[in-house]
Amino acid sequence: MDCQDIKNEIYGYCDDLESSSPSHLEILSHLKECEDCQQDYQLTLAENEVLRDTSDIPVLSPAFTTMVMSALNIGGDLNGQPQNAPKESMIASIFKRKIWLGGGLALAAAVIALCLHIPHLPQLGTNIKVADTYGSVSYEQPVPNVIAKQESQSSPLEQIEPAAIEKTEPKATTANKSNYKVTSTPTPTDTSRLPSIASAAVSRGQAEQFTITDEDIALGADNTRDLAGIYMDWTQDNGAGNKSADSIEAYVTPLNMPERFKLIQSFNSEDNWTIYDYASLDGKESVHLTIAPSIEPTRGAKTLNISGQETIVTLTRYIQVGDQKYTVTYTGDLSADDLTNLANTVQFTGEVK
Amino acid sequence: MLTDEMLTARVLCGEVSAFEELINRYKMSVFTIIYRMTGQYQEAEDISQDVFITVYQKLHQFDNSKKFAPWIHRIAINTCISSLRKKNKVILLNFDESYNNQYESQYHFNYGDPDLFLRRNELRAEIKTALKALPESYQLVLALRYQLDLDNQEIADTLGVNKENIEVKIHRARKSLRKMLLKNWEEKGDKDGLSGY
Repeated sequence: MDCQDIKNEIYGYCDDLESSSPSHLEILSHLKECEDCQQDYQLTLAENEVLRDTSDIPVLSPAFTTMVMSALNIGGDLNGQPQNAPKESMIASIFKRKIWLGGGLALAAAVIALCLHIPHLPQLGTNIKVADTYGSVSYEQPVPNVIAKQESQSSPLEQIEPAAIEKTEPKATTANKSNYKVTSTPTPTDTSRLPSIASAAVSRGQAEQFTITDEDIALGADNTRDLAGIYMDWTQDNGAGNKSADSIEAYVTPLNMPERFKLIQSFNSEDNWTIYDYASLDGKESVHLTIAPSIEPTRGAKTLNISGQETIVTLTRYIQVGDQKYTVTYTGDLSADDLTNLANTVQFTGEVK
Repeated sequence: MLTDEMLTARVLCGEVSAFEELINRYKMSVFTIIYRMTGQYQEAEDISQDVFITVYQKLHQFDNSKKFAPWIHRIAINTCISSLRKKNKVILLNFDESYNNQYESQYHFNYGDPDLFLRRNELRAEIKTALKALPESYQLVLALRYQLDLDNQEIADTLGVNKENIEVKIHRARKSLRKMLLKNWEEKGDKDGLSGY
């Protein structure tokens, strides 16, 4: 080894002084003979001392853990169950943010523009015309005449028009309630061509408030792309509106959730939204249902989640309880097929006002 | 002992104490990263709290087949960047000695030789000055490597880049540190910065 070799190896050598590898022994031998390299070695050790020195890091408050738990308001009940589970519906989270108003208006504008642009779309007849903003093709899908039960559809992107929802007779066990079953309608096979309204709204909302530019990130030019991709934000507004699963005043309640899912959190927002967060017992899957009063049909779409690295599938359907129409948005880290199957399974019951 | 990933699964099933355990495991590393980036105790503590709140709320997005540590450290870095950006603050990696009076460093000083003691302190200060002059990206990888004692793969997972990139980055950072140190000595006319060390 010559001096140049030592200069190249010295950092690794100093990081692992206890090694007895042949190269280490060679370096050690060289250092004993070469004064310049010995000085280089001493300076590297001094640098390492400074780099490793954490003596200036203050001691974190002993109450830190308690403060975080208090901030999360998850003291837990007698059964050890949290009052607020670690589930914040992505959709709810997005709409709780400041971009809610702008995003909502933009979404409404997009829907209106779509309706104006596609004059057939609002006409709810025996056929559903699915707009395709990317071309002149329009798909005509017949609506089944009798819709008394859900049909299993495997398409990841589905849309239920209000006309496709029919009331079913309430069961004896729910005398004061009305059950409504939701059906799905056939969807175009070329779903990749469908306009992604929800996706645009999510992306736009995210971009308005959370964009990080390359030069803004501390990691330098070669790392910024990666960091920007995993940028995250959150809402701390998870306290006032939350209620335990037992005390929720649900406007609409989902039934028939698969047994592997456990209700983690549910709450009503000020806008009469009802949000249900479920997690599978193994902790690997989660599903969020957002039920919002709605009369505007929008289309379910595949959306990117906040981190932009994982695909969160969103599926939108419409139900009707009494005179009130609701938009039900399913969001989860399931596959599109699993989420669709789940949506086909779930039924709803609600108070008739 | 339960792994981090097992704890996350338990949290998702509603076990509060599992999240407390995660906080206890990671509060110091999270705080260290953020303190190095902010240089302010209170701010670092506040942001650290935000990090754990974020982690709790985003836990359902965590891929349980992967390691938890890089995930939470990544959130810590991004939350800190976000917080500093909202305050229009310059991001800095702090290696000041503001707390050194309280927390004595554990150096093997030769207290019998005042000159040597002073010279070593001076050298440490010079290295810290050089360190602070490095690009933030270099400071961050050095902090992750030497302050948190993460290996290259762990740093790569934290920053979402490949391991080779980190190896190169750390090597360049070390070279830059040395270059900066020698440059400062040259400007001071101190051609033998190591004398007496």
